[in-house]
Amino acid sequence: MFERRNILTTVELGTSRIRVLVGESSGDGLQVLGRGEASSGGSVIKGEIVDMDRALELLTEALEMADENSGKMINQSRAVGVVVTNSGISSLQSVGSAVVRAQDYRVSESDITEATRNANVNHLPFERLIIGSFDSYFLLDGHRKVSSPLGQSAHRLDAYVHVIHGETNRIENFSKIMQDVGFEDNVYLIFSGLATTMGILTEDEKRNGAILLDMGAGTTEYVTVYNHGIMASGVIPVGFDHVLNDLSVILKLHIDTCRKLITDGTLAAMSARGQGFIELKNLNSATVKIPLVSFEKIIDERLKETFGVIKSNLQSQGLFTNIGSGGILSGGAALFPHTLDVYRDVFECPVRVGKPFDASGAITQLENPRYSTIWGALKYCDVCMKSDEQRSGGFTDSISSALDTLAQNFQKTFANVVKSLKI
Amino acid sequence: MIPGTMNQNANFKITVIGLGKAGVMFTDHLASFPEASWLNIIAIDTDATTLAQCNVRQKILADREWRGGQGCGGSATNGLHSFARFREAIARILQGTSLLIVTGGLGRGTGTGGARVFASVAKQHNIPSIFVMTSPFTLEGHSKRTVAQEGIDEILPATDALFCLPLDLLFSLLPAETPVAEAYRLADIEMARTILGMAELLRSNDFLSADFSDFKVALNKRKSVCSIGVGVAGTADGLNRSHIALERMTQSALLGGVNSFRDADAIFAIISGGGDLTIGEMKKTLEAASQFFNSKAAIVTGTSMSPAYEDRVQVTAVTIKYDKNESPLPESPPPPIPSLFEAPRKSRKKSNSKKEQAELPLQNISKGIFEFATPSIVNGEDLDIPTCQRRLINIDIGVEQR
Repeated sequence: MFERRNILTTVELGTSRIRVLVGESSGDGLQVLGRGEASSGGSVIKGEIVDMDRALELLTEALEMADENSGKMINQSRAVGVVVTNSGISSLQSVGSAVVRAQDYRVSESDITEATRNANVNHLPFERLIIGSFDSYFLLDGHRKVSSPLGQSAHRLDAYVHVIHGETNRIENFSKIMQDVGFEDNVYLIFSGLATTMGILTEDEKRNGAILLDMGAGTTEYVTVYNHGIMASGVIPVGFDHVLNDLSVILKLHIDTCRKLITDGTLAAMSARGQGFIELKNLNSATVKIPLVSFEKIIDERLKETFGVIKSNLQSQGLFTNIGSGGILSGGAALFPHTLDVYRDVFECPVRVGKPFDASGAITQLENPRYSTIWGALKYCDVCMKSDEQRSGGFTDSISSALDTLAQNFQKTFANVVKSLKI
Repeated sequence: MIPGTMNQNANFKITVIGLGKAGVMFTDHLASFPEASWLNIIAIDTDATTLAQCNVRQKILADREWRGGQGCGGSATNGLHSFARFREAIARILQGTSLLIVTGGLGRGTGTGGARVFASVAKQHNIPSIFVMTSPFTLEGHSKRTVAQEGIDEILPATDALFCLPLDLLFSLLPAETPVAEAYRLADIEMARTILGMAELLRSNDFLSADFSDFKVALNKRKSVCSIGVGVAGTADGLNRSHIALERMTQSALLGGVNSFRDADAIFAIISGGGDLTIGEMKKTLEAASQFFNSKAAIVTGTSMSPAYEDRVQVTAVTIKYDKNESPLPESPPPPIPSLFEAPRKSRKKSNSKKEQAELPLQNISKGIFEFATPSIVNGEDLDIPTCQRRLINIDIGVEQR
């Protein structure tokens, strides 16, 4: 009766809103207990915390709301996840190998661990911090590609690992703010794009290959997945705010006017009606009559460019392959229907809007592309916690070592690399 | 979107829109052909005088309230404005249309500006559209060509096919002593024939099929150089009327010579005739025509029957040559360098006018809310600056109302 409940809390400090989600992991899955939300009020720009005090204040507000909602559960959290994103984040693909020494040449758990560990020995400079590493795929005897090599017959095993890393100082901001609100232990750092991948991709998509774009207000994250492995990931510091900013700068309107036009669907409705002009108050509060095509053109150019940058990034690495299930669009930008059209045009593949589809619990209403990341973060947290417990029987050493000093960090690297995560 | 069989049943309606002065003239001639009676022809212009001279049954004066029937004065932006106000009316005009053909001249106001709006409305309502536009004479200078090229860039993504026919070709075959008025009349008739041929090409599938879907597959969204040739001959012209029609087709000005068949990657050839067109005639003509064709080209042939062609045969051919690098407009030769003797005369002429320093358009580059944020530099470009400003794309920012 008095068993400790597996409460999880995740925090997302987004450019437009700060979100908190509280959930409980039990035998029959993950239940959402409470949710808190606050506007970021300019304290986060392009995914980076620029005003710590203000961000702290707003995060506290959101946390209190979630606490209230969940019936005062936050303090019992066993694990806390914080979603990180910013332009400094990049990734590298690394490879490590192990010789299978068992008599019957079957790959064992320890071979996988050894290969993965070797793959994680990399030479990142000190100012770079590993946020997470993920299995891409394994190669048996140098040519058979598998996603799970356990028990297979082979002489040599190569592990390909996708390592996501960021600028230490920028990432530590996120840990620091979590410390400030009182979460010291078991804080997992989660790369936003990966969280979204966990949150909204279906099994089919993870297997057949898909490309996920998460366009928020300040940044756009992209991840490609194939055969349950992460193939590529990254962040472009351009979000939907850039679209609004373009409109406001070029057409000399207030940015809130532009935001309202797009978020309440006025613009989409007008262009569906075939209206030619739109009358608005400009910065000098004079009424101005602007052709609707101007809006469409500006939005189009920006979105095309942003998606084009991502596509060419993927193409230059030769990773624009294996996207059999097409594209998924998530984040606030997915609420503007035209984004999807441009996405389809640029990537030339079928696309859909992604949103949480398997959330359950008292507070749901998470079926909105805005909640993809925070919901995925909760799932991710759950997986991290379970795999930690499985390994050490407790939860003293965590996958993430972001909270520790650099010296400890070095020692802990061992724990960090023992297991890469599958999605 | 496109019905598999495009027969001339009641549901299949081709609307031909003549835009601007040139377009109105083309449709005027088109309407005078008895074979064109099945087309829904509409002449639209912002200039009342042009419309008054034209005998098309359906005439529409666009944007009377702003332009006041005075035309657009050669400004494509004005044309764009006029027709943007007119969008809903356009949608109404196009209701029930299975295929839209827009014709007009590029390089001036109404044609260039209006065509973009038609392209976007047609796309919005899923009406397949073909634009048969003329590009300006080389002698008309660079500015018109720029306007025309901008128009092409705007229309191209929205339409299924854009034919850009250089006016230079129209006059190339006429002897130099032809009176000007006659030359223009012949050019207009040639264009009208071409449009009719185009329409004929797309409706035919009575016996041999060639329809819009074939056509779209052939174009395959690739930039290509196309030419059209139309030849018509009646029983009165000679014993072998289909042979004469074929010959006239190969000499047709817009085809640009028989050699276009040799270079073409895809060719559409259609014979239109009345009830008296025999199978032997059809076979002979298509065989004779295929002598000209490039043996590696994809060739689609077809016939169409209409009582309006009684006693006559019309041969239409469209050649398509894929080209990745070339734009639809042929490059204009560089402007002639003024000779040394001419220069002083010019300056003397200008000396009376007030001297003013030319103003360079200076664009105000601003980053708005991102002014003080960490710049987002990707591939050497600051992505915080609006894309349209970096790419120097001209955006119409509207008019302040008083």
